[in-house]
Amino acid sequence: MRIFVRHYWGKMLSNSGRIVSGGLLLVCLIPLFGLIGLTACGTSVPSSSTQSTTGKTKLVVFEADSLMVPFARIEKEFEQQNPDIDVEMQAHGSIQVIRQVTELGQDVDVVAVADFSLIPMLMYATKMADGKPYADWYIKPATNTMVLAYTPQSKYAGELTADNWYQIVSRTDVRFGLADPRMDAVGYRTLMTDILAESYYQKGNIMRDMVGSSFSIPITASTQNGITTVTVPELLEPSNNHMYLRGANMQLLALLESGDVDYTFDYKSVVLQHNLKYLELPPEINLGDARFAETYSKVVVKLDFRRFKTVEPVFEGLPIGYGLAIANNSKHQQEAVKFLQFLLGPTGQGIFKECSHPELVPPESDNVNALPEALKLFFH
Amino acid sequence: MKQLKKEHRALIGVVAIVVLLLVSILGCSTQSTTSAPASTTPASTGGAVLTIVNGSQTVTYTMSALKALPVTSGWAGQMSSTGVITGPNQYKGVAMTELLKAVGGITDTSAVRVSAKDGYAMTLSYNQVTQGSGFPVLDSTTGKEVTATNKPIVFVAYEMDGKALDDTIGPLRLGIMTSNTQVTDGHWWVKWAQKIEVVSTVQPWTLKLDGAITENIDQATFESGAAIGCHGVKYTDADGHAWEGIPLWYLIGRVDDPTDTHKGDAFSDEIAAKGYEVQLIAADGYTVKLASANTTRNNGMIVAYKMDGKPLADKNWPLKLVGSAVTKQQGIGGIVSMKLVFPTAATTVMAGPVILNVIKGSQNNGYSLSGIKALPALTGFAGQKSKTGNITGPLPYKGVALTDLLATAGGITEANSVKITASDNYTKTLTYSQITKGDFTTYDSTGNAANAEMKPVVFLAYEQDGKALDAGTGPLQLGVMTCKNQVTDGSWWVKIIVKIEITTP
Repeated sequence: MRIFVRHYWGKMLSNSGRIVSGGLLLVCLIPLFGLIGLTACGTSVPSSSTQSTTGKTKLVVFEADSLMVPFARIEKEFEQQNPDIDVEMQAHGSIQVIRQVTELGQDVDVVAVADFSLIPMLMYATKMADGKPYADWYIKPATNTMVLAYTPQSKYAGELTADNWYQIVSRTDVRFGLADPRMDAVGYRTLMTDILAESYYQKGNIMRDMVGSSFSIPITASTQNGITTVTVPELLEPSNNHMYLRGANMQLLALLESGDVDYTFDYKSVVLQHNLKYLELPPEINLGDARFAETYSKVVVKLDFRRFKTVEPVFEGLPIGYGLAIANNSKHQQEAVKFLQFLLGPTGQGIFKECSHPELVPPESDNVNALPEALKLFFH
Repeated sequence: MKQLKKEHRALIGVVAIVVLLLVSILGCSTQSTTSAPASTTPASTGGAVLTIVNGSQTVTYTMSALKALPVTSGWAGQMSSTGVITGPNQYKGVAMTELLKAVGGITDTSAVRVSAKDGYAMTLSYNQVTQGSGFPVLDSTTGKEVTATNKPIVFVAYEMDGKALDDTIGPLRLGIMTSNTQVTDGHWWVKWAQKIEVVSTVQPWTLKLDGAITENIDQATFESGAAIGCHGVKYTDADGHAWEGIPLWYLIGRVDDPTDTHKGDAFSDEIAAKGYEVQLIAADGYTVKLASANTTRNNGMIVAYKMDGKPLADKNWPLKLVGSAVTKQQGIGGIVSMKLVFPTAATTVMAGPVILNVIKGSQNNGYSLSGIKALPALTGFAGQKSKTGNITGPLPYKGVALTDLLATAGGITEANSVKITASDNYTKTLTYSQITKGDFTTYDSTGNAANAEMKPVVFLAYEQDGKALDAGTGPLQLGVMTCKNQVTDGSWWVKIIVKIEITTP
């Protein structure tokens, strides 16, 4: 079997100057998988052995896409401090991160997702063979905020202000990039931000004009008892030249940088890591300020598309909070705890700060009593 | 794909060159020569590996049966959400369009849902399946979006690089065939594919009718009622678009009383004459309010479900109010419900249809024109100064003072304001001070501000120069009465008023 693998985002991140270790690693991916192709002859994807080929203990960490930059640096520095541990990172969408553990049987030690609520939703509720859940606590180490990303070349960029952004982005001659809300948390959070903007600016139909009516089957919103529910149809097919729908926000950043789209929403940390221009949004709508949790909770996004059989596709508006957990079936509990200690400690938090990713100080946990003793220290 | 350890870099770097050379050689040599039969897998010996469903039609395939179908072969690869590019590899399989033939194919109102054994699913549009459109195509070297060199083909693969798909992705995998230098977004790929369903993209909808009774009309019932010869009507707008639907008043008739819902003439003129408000509500909560006086047996107000023979799209879906009697502001799209708001307390009933509702809390007094005229009449002069400074009038008017009208609803206090609504939903809110003290700026006949010679009085005009107001202004117009040589700002005047609400800000 010939497998030919490259890592485009790795190259892009290297170019940003924010990450140095990933570039060399990714260059190495090409020959490695060629080698796999020649030697394994289609037997399997890389093994899930718990011992790396160097004899080190292999710690498998599955991370959300938007954590790739800080986690690449954390991996490097953690391994320098712990030469007996070999951290292996894989980045996916957050739902996919957890699903690898609970449904696909991957040996994953640590999960790090962009929406902490997915951990109780999917890991607490799913039981292992011994009847125990895949996790029974989570830690919130970091937050983020939604911003409107653009470039100086974006159409009407010179006119953009905090008061008119939604009018500009809704213009039919503006190319708007939407991360597919059926697949990417940035996508459904974009819809939430639009609906919250309608209340904040006292303007109806912002979501409809910017996003909803650009599909052959529109994305709709209805309000009942003060809660606005956005319904995303199973099939999303853009019906005009205003809408650029892509499976992941990372693809849209590439289009933004190449000038193929004018505006897109993304996490502030990711936008900063790509050195893009952005417009800060008011805290009432940016999903990044816990003081407005009540406001955010007035929006729900419901997907008619059921991507995973076990995931009920209904997402409530919440302040953005990342979530960490050690899988209960991890064979490397001690190493996993070490990794989280490092991540939550001064070096890890320093890396988050340098990567413009807002850490949560102090971190939060829903079940401090259940944490390993070494991690409880962070919550005293 | 997994990232590599730094310890391997030196070794890998050396091996890389050799490997790439070999890969390149192998790739070139296999591109046009791969024709060896796939290795036998358990699935190919008889077990069903794929089920295709379209409504009541179900077809299952064994691997052998699948391989007996016309073969599609070529290059395909994918890029993950994190930018990892895999392939392109040489695949062999069956085009989706070929597979769907067994269940009657698909139409432009259909989509295709592909499910995997692990519960993962992906839905593809008619255009994606039949035209290969809607797939961002990426250069397999740079990862950047490019124009497709070959039309992308949706297919179900059973072989990659001359071998049966192994159990990490197979035996069947949904993929998008492109070229040997291009890949597609990995989201569209489905490993372990085992089921294909043709699903309708025509979203079912329901119209909720909420009046004396509540009824949910489903799409089929509405369309049945909208048939020409039943209640269906057609209307062609100024742009030449042909709309089809049901006159609004027919729908009102289904719920305007609790018993007579859908007989020969279900509409109650008697209840309409007492006055109610018809609210048309869109999915996003936007609401258009109409007085029963305007909707009663009005064939110029149509709830349309088709334009130019096709279901409504985008923000008009599923229903839109159109017709010769519908103003631009009233032409609401995306209608999901209709609500009748009836008077909830004692109603002033006079002969003739209700033209004005006066609402205070739960109390709603419906007035006919004769009911208005039965109140103490107010006569005098009134005129307007427009935004641009033009002076109209003063002209002789006859009407009723707003305070007299409000008194019939219990009057107002300093805590209240009064919201005036016109037939086109234009609203104007007046303060207690304006209504009771005439707190308005007055101007002389040249347009200069001048002290009021008489206390301005807010009133509802029904006659001007001894004649009933014309249809574009009346039957009732809100104005401010002054004197023979003074006027007030035209912004306080409201034509064709249909509702007055006493509110507490």
